[in-house]
Amino acid sequence: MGIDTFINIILNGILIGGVYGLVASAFTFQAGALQIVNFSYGSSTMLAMYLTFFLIKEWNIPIVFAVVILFALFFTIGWIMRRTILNNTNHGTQILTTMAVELVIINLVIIFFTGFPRDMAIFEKRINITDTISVGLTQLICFFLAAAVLVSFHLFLNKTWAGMSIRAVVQKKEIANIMGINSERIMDLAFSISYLIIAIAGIMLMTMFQVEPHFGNYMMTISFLVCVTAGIGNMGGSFLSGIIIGILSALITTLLGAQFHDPVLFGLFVLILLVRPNGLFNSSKRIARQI
Amino acid sequence: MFFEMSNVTKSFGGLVANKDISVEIAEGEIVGLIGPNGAGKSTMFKTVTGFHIPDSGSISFGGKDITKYEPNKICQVGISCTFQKSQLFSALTLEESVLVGAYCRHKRKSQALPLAHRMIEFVGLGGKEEVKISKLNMFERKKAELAAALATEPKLLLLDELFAGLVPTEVELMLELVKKINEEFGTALFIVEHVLRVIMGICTKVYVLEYGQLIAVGTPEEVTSSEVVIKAYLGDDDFYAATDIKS
Amino acid sequence: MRSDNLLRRERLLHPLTAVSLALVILAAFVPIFGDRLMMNIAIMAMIYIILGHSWNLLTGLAGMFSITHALFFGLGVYGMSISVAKFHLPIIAGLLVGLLINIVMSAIVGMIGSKLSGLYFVMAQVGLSQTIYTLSIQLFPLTGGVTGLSMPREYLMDKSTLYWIALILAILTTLAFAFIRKSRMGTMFVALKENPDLSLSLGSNVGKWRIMATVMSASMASLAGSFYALFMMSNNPEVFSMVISLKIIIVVIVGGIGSVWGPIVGSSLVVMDELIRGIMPTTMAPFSVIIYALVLIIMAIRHPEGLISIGRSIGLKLEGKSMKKVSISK
Ligand SMILES: Nc1ncnc2c1ncn2[C@@H]1O[C@H](COP(=O)(O)OP(=O)(O)O)[C@@H](O)[C@H]1O
Ligand SMILES: [Mg+2]
Repeated sequence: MGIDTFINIILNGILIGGVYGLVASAFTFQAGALQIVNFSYGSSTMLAMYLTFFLIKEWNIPIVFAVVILFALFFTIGWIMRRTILNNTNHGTQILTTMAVELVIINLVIIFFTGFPRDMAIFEKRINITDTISVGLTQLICFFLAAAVLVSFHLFLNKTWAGMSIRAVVQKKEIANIMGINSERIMDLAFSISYLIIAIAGIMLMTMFQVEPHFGNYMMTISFLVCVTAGIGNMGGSFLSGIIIGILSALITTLLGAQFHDPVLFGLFVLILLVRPNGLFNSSKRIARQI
Repeated sequence: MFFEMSNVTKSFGGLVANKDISVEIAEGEIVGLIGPNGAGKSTMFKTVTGFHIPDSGSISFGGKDITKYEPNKICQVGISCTFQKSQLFSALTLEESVLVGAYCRHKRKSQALPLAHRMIEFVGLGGKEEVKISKLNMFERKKAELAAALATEPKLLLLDELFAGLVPTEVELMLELVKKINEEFGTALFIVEHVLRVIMGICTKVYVLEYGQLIAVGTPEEVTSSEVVIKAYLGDDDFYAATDIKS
Repeated sequence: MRSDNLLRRERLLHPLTAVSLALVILAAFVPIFGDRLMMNIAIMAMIYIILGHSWNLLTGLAGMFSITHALFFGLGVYGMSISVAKFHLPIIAGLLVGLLINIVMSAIVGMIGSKLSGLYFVMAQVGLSQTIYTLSIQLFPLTGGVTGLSMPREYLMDKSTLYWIALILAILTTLAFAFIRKSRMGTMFVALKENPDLSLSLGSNVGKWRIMATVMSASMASLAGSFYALFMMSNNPEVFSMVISLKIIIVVIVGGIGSVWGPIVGSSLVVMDELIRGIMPTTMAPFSVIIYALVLIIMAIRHPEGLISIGRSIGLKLEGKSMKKVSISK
């Protein structure tokens, strides 16, 4: 393998990894900051992908409207989920019910959209850096968009009143309550916003991957891997480890072959969990609960 | 020495909960540990029982270095404890709870069961074997905890504020029970207690802990008349109330 | 007060014993009066009883939240079908191969479970299960890939024979569960679920018991899986699916977690499901899964702080990550 091919693989991995980071950041926000463990997470991403495909490709809705519809829908889904099944603090219940939601989503998708795999079939325009090294245009756009979304989310949490309320509630619910913040509403809001991130990630993933009803399982395991590498709750870190995982994923596929990709990557995940459950970047004792 | 802590230090982040602690206990001896709240008494016990690993220093028991032992291993070598905050198996019956301790010594149920029953009788809960722990009252729970700890047949038993929350008549009964443990089984006892009556009544040696450091050691009389100790306790009504009763 | 309690327990015990006896007798009549459909349904119910006991042992007794229990079931299926279809080994060898694979896998899961708890343990299970699922598809020459392997015809068994085997297995696992619950192992399991710190301080090797619970549970699930392979005469990666894991969990939760009756009572749900599915056209299959899911969701909404106290006793908190050195008195 020449050095050029190698660089191409790495670049490709970095670009996809950025999107992985975005996907995982919503999970890490839910589980780490909000203390809500959402196992319907992967299938929610999958649903966003299907909806993107159908809104744009099948029903020919202009992209801007499609995005607005998707956002409104996902914000509502997030809100309803938080109000009905996720308004408790018990992780066991949360895991079981959201797994049930996952099954509902998967089967609804099968019923309405059939299990047939879908693909945007975007013709990828490649930008040549040198004669032999190039990157895909949509991938590049997605990477920077993912970074932009994460940065703006960070700004939202730190600079706006709503964002600061979320942080206040996450850190000290009782005190936030005393200060006149309706902590339940704020949690609803925070969870719904995390669903907006899922919607955005779904759109991006749809430009890169083919989607089928069980694609969510794959994305969920990738998200787990990214979260655990960064330490659950560490959003900035998840972007970084998303990139690492992206590179690793690309390397495994080229060096070992595609059939080894999932087993090796997921096996690695279990290994990391055992060796460094708090994440690769965190010192062993500190349990991440930062946003 | 039977039991020995030498220069044990344990800190949580910046907070030094135990600093340079050295303690010696002889076989069958009853030793007290007193000190204001937050002095680090419970931390010391948890370090001995293996729930904390000390930052430095060593702990030996029966000639063995047990500093790095896991809690279950510590129990097997013969150190048992009751916790300050009541620890129970609320879904199990009294018999089963004590059995857990008895299984530490006997693998077979046929051997463990008689031991468990003996301990239940011993603490005076006979007849309640089939009752769920959650149905017992406070005093009975404390005795159940004691029975479970005794069922592991300890040579050294650590009691962390066993008497806290008991009414005076119950304190009296418990005191009798604790004495009986020492007399019948020859178990050495290491007792953290606020009710000084208890300490005065049964201990032969008392350690005083303040801000994580041992500030005095001696017989109960020596310790209670010591300047440093009185200063450490200054303003602690508990102490004066308790010493008043005694004198 | 106490005699009251005892009385109530006696009364509670008697009808249940009677019902179970009635069930066994009723079950004996199925092959005589029942048609093939009835027998199929009964066999499925038995399989879920076995799986239910298996999950109940691990989660209900030992308090380790098994979220991908189909992993053990599926390995049992693959152990049997690969041994028989690929290597033409006798059935008993298939059974042992399944068990062996499961013991190895469950030792790994148990080891993870004794180091990690809460969300981390659950995530590790999902990771492992996904790994095995993808391997079962990728290792085509061995596993038959997506379509799976079909077993040679000479292994085909009579429906009523299969039925009897299922019944015997279900009864045996029920007895095994009841026995384990009363034995040293069962006491240690419940103790470590209820209070790992106290168990440790009473000399129980919590890590060892966690591994033991996982191995025992996986062995039971393996039996169910190997039998399922003989029943279906084939395998496919769907045996590892979340749907099966969730069904197992629902069966036990509906019937009562931690109790020997749980899976038996809960298996009525499987009977209902299979009956409905027998009537509905196959294109409606997704709806059946949705109904299961809704049952779970409704139960969760009604008992938000613990589906039958499951979450609390399992203590699924991010903070409770490492089982040792959790502070005892905060
Ligand atoms: N697990 C822990 N993590 C951090 N600090 C602790 C922990 N356990 C105890 N401490 C601190 O150590 C000090 C001593 O506590 P403790 O041993 O419980 O005191 P005592 O039993 O004498 O009242 C206290 O300031 C307490 O807050
Ligand atoms: Mg204390």
